[in-house]
Amino acid sequence: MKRRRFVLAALLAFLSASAHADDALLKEIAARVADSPVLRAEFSQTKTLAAMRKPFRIAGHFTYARDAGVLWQVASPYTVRYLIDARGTVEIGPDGQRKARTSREAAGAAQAGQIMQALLSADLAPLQSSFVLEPVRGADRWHVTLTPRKTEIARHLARITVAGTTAVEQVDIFEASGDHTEIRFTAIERDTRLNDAEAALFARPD
Amino acid sequence: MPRRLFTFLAAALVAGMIALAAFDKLPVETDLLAMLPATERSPIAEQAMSQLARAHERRIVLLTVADDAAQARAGAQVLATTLRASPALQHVTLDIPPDALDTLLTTYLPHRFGLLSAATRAALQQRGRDALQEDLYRALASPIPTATPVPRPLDPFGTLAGFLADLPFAGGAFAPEDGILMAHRDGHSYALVSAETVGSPHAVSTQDAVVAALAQARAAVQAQVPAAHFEATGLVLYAEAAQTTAKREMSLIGGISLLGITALLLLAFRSLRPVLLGIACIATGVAAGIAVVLLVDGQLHLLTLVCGTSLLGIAVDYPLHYFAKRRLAGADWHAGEAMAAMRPALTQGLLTSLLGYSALLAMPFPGLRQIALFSMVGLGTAYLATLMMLPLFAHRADPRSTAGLDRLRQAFATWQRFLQARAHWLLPMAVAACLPGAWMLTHNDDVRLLSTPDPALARQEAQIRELTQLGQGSRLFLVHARNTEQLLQREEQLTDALRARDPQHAGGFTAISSFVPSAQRQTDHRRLIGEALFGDDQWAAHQLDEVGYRPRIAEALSQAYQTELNLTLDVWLKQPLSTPYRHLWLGPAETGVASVITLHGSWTADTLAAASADLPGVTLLDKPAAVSKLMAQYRRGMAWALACAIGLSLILLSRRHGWRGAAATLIPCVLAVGVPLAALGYLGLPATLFHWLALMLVFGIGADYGIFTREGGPQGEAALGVLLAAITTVLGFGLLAFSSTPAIASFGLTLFMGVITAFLASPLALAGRSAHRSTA
Repeated sequence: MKRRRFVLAALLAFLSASAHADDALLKEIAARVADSPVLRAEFSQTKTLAAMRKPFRIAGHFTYARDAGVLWQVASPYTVRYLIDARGTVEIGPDGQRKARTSREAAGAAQAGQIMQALLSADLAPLQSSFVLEPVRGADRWHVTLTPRKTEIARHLARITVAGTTAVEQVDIFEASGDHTEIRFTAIERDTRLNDAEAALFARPD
Repeated sequence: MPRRLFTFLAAALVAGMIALAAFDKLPVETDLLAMLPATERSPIAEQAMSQLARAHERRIVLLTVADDAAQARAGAQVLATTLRASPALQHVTLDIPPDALDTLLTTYLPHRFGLLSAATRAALQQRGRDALQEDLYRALASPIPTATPVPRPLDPFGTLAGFLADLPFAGGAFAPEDGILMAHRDGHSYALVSAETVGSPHAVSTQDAVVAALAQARAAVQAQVPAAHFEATGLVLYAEAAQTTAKREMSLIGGISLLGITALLLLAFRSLRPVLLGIACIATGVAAGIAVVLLVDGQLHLLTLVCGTSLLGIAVDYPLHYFAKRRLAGADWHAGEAMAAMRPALTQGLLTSLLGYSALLAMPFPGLRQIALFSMVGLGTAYLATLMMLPLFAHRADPRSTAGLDRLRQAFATWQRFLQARAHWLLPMAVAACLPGAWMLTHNDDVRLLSTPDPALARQEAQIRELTQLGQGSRLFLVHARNTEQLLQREEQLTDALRARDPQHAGGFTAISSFVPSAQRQTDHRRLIGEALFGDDQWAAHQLDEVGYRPRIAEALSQAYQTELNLTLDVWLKQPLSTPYRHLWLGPAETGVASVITLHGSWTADTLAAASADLPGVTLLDKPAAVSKLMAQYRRGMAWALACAIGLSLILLSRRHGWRGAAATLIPCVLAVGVPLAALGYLGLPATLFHWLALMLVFGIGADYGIFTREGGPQGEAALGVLLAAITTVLGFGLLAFSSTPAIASFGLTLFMGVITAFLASPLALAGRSAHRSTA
């Protein structure tokens, strides 16, 4: 009886200790990635769907600005640009025109945008209300598994993993239907400021 | 004589008892709009309005607010549990069924090719297959899985997902999270709870029960989830606040004015008898007023009640003049003779007042008519009471010294000499000073002036509306057609026009045709997308193959397309997801079918008018605008009625005083009407219907002062009566200026200015009188 109680206490202590360790690790990961104000990379995204006989690939450029959000520019097989920030996801047309959305669409996009920005900047703590976060530290790599807390999200999304070293290098999205999306980042470079072309795209008129 | 007395007493007693018995549960109408006439000529429009009102008026929307989602959820659960325990509330809704998204899919998937969003349709018409190809890629390229309930292979081009995202579901920023509708904004989390009152929100019992339930819920949330609190909005809360304010103001203003009047009379007459008799005269008047209004209308409106309390101010004038005369007469007093001498003045005063009110009575404004009825009956009864009761109960002389009062008479005489000596230039100057102000006068007929909702309630409502995008309920489109198909087509013409005029999506609307497009449009969509996807060249199959979809996906799509039927309104109305929108469907109307389209967000009146112009079967019902227009009409009507009343009074008075005398008698009242108007003009305050309503009363009072002064003669016999009358009226009406209802406050302020003017100008009514008497 006494022994069992001891085990229970030890288990609780361990659990709370590991929870603290998780928070610390998440902070460390965010700090490492947010080290530089601007981060650029090439990305390639591969979608593997049960309904598809071959994976679907897209590739392009990725810019992360600590204060402004994420610029997601698809170059092949066609061109489209997305601006993702805490306020949502906006599609930018070839002429630089932003695609107007209904408020309802915007509300959904804002939620997706928040998740995406957190993933791509590795600043995962804000997602804690929606996801269970399990960070794991490797030799020089880390990865975090995100499992949705809300049934509405869990209906679509099984889990997400984010992995990297000093930047996010891979994001894997596993949908509930078994579909899988893999995003890899290569040629990662750090900078102190946005170039003019990027700054122009980040600027939101509203 | 005793017979008359007993008849009168009995009548007064009965009237008083009816009023008192009713007062306990007096049916007081608090909805200010209920005072207004039906604005809509067409019975369908009235049906639409009342159906929507029913859908809206019992609803209560509540939000729990906390800094984090878990606390907001916990708060909402406590709130819902507490509210469910209240017998006054029903349909307390917190959890939404987890299969809500599935119902969406089962309803719409079988009709997917006929269902396109406005944006998809436009893109398809302009850019054809290019647009579809982009959508195909976009659906696959988007980095995050969108929360669409449609599996990608069933909708590879994302057209159904686009349609579903465009559905005007109520909820705004709210999205289901673990079965509860939640929103997150600016560091706060919100959870939505809704409920309905069991009884009518206008019933006092419902209001009390709801307020008690909310207070209990507040305490429970405070105790169990201290980090969360909740906001609430609903008609019942506004009605309760209005009721409480009105009752408080009525008892406060009425009480203070009664106290003030009592103190004043005690001071002037040094005896309790005039006070008691004065109050008796007023009380019979008020009781008779309430009784007749209840008999005619069945309920008493709040505004009548509040304005009615100020009837005290005018009804008390009649006994005042009697007692003032008796006080001044000293030992040389004969009640019967004195009353006979006074009767012409009293009668003329009553007649001019009734003349003013009868103009109101003729107006189709139920609220004004009720005020007029109340005032006319009240004044008439008070007049009869004065005439019959006073000589009976106060027939003995008052032999006490009148020294103090003589000083008053001297002061009046000084003021009178001052005025009369300068009247020939003072009067034109006063008129000249008033004219520019009257010229500068502006008007405001905005119906919202009728009520200022409780600021705390208004703030909560604004926040809830902002987050939920609740419809406004007061502005809507009525669509009418021969049959359902034509109705949906007409709705689509209108919604297309609205969309075209609102590129920024600032406003929104909820229309049945957004949920169920017309058969014509569905067929049109199916043809449009079918030509692009499943034409002879099998474009869809090639495209899907190219991005990597298995061949069976394209085959399944093509098969579904071949056998697809239109979604019909009947089928849709049977779906559970249509429940919150069924009130939009009015069903069979006199010569066909009708529906309404509700609006939310910001729409300008011009946009709405322009969008609906030239569309057959479409009517814009804008209750506030219609009522404002009506108020403008009545305000103009009131101004004319006032002018007519002055003209008629001139004729009435000329029979006794001659034309010049009648004109002189009316000078105080004309000035009393003119000065407040000019003051409003100079101050830049817009005049409302309620200012004019007050001016009507000012006219009656001013005419009284003129008549009594003239009848009293140059020795200033009436001065005491007029002074007391003016002070009591200011006590009664001036206090209304402190009411929190702007309509009542402006009423009070106008009366205040008017009565002061009428009193100061009253000696002018004597112009020509002394000469007239000396020649006689």
